[in-house]
Order: sequence, then structure tokens, then C-alpha cells
Amino acid sequence: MGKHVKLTLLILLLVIAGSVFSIFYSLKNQPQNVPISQTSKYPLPVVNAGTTQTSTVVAPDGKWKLTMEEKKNKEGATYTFSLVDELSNSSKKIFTKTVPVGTTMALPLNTFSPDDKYFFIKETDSIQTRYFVLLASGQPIFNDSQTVEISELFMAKYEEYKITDITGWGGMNLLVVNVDKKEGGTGPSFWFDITNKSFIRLNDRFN
Amino acid sequence: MARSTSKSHSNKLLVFLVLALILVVSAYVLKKTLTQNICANSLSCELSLKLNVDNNTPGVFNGQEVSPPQIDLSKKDTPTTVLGETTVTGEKHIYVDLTTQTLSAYQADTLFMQVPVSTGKWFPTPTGDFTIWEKVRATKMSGGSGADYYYLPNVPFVMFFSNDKVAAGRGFSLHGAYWHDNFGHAMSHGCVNMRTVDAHKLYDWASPTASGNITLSTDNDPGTKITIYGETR
Repeated sequence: MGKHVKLTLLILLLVIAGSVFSIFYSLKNQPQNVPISQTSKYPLPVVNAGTTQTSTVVAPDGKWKLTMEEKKNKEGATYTFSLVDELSNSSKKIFTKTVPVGTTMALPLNTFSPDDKYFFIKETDSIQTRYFVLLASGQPIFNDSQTVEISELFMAKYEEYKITDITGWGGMNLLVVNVDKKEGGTGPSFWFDITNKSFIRLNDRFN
Repeated sequence: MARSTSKSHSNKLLVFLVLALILVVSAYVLKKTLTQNICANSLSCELSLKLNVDNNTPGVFNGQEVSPPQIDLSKKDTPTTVLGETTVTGEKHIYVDLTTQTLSAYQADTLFMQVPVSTGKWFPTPTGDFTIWEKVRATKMSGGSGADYYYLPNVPFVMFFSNDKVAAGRGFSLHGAYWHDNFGHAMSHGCVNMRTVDAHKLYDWASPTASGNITLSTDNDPGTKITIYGETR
């Protein structure tokens, strides 16, 4: 083997060793949490920590406005309901609730009772939707509780039906409750009378 | 003898057929007359076409007492904000979709408002093309019977409409409704119920231009056209 050949092989070995060291070094120092592929078919989880959203419903007579502020965090979300006097623009906090991730709260369009005395709100998780009625004054509605939960009361009385929707107020203190049969098929509508927490079965279905 | 009996049977049959025919025709005419002339508000009927304010009598709806809004005719209502009214020109038209229970108001191609409404549940809202012929600041409406009986003073911002098939005297209208909050779902006796805030806004926008508390359309100030279509679910 000639002298030139030996030198060439030595240089080649040095280049290869240098390259291997360089690659190893760069891999070792790469941040561990960087995704390997930026074009993954699975969307990366996004946590909207600290984001706030507000929804508003104006009472049918235009005198009041109910706002729902949703503040998300890693554990879930906190919802704050406030009543705003449209004339004076003064605001009063009525109710606050914190729910886990996967549960959301909503203000229905027909949230206010016709006389603005009550309002109702929805809470939905992966299993069911719950409906709560509150006094717009912020006072307890029953004993020491600020809310009356309708779905629970209904299930205790009518096992054969499930609530599909509560659409609004059919009277000053009557909520329109639509139900379906648990075994399948459309059910009737009920009034839920908030004054005595009773259900009145109707002949008509309110779609 | 046999021939005479047979003739007698034929005569009886003929009389029976004629009577049956008369009965069927009478029933048809009666039904047609009744359904064509029934007022939207069966008890107050044409009284509802007049301005009427009663701040002292409670209303009744769905078997419950309801408090009507207090109306002071000496006070002028705060005009609603009518964005773009001065810049948009063209014909005004109101559409009421019975299927989606939605009212949309346009001036030319520009949408002025789109809101949920409640149309006929206990009596159908008529479909077709109509014109507003009268606007009344407030009136009394009553009708129904038994559990469906209603008595409603101070119904606000009433816009009566009619066409050649639905006479003005029947009292179909768009108006504010303070006795329920179930908009987006059928809930009326034939009229188009609106949230009071929405009815106020539409009342200020639609023609004839309100002058005082009762306004009739004229050749110079014709009423806004209304198209009602679809089918209540």
C-alpha cells in the first residue's frame, strides 16, 4: 500500500469520524419535546389557559341583559352570570359555577321568564344536559339553594321519558319541557311550574 | 202492485240522495264561511283593530294571570336605533318562515333584521303575500276557550296585515308578545308573536310611517309587503 493511499484512507476515516460525532452531538442537544413530525395527522392538544368569552341575551322587553362570562383554565372553566340593567347600565353578579373539562354551560335564547323574574341555563357534559332555574334577583330560589335542577326532578317522577329540550317559557313561571320515550319515539311536552316545582303533562307537543 | 212499490222505493232513494247532497253542500259552505271569516282573536275580533290601552286589568294566558306592560300614550317611545336606514333605499319586504319560525326584514337586498318569532299553534297563521294596512301602538286581544282562553290588554306594536283572501277585519298581525318567552316555536292563535324589543324595532322601520298611535296605510304611504311561507312543524 502506497504512502498516498494510506494518507487518503486516514483523511477519509477522520472525515467519517467527524461526521458521526457531529450528528450524534446535534441529536443529543435537540429539545426533547419538539414533535418529530410537524405534519402529524393527529391535532396537537391546545390548552386555552386563561381565555375568556362572553355571551349575552337581552330580555324580550329590553329592560335587562344577562351575560355569561366563560373563563377557561387547565382544570375546566368558571362561568359567571351577571344581570345588567339596560337603563342604568349597572351590573350585578348573580351566580358563579366551576365545571370540569368537557362540561360546558350555555345561555338559551329564551332564558328570561316573561316578567324577567327567573332565568334558566344549560349545562352539558358527555352524558347529559342539565337545566337550572335561578331567580334574577340572585336570591336563593329554594331553601338555601340558588338553583333548581329540572332534569333530576323530572327523572325521579317520569322514568319512562328523557328530556330532549327545554325551549323557553310558556307563561310567567311555566317552562316548556319536551321529552322523548326512553324506549324510542317522540314523547309529550310538559310545563314545569317553578313556583311549586311540579310537572304538568300537556296534550299538545311544543316543537 | 209490484211496479208501484218499486216506483215508491225509487222516489224515496231520490229524495234521500237529494237530501244528502244538500247536507254535504251546506256543510261545505258553512265550513268555508266559518274558516274564512274567523277572526284571529275570536272574542275581541274587530275591537282589536282599534287603539286600546288598559293599565289596570291583568291579562290571562295559559290559565295564568299575566301583567301587561304599562303604556303611557302621552310619552313618546324612545325611537329604536335604525342603522343604515338613511343610506339604504329600495322596497321593504318582510318574510316569515313558518318552518324555521324566523322573521327576516329586508330593504332591497339589505337585511335589516332576522329574529325568532312564534306563529300559529292553536290556529294556523295564513300563508301568502300580504300588506300592512294598519299600525296600532297597543290594543287588547282575547279569544280561545277553556284552557286556551286568553285575555291580553296592551299588546304592543301591532302591525295588521291582509290580502284579497284574508280580510283586514280578521285581525291577523305581527305584534309584540309579553306573555311568553318561547320564541322560535309555534305559540300563537294565528298572529306572528315577536319579542317586544324586536316588534318595536320593526314597527319603527315598516311602512306606513307611524304618525301617532294609530296609522293607516295610504296610496302615498303604502304598507310594507309581507310574505308568509312554509309549514309549522
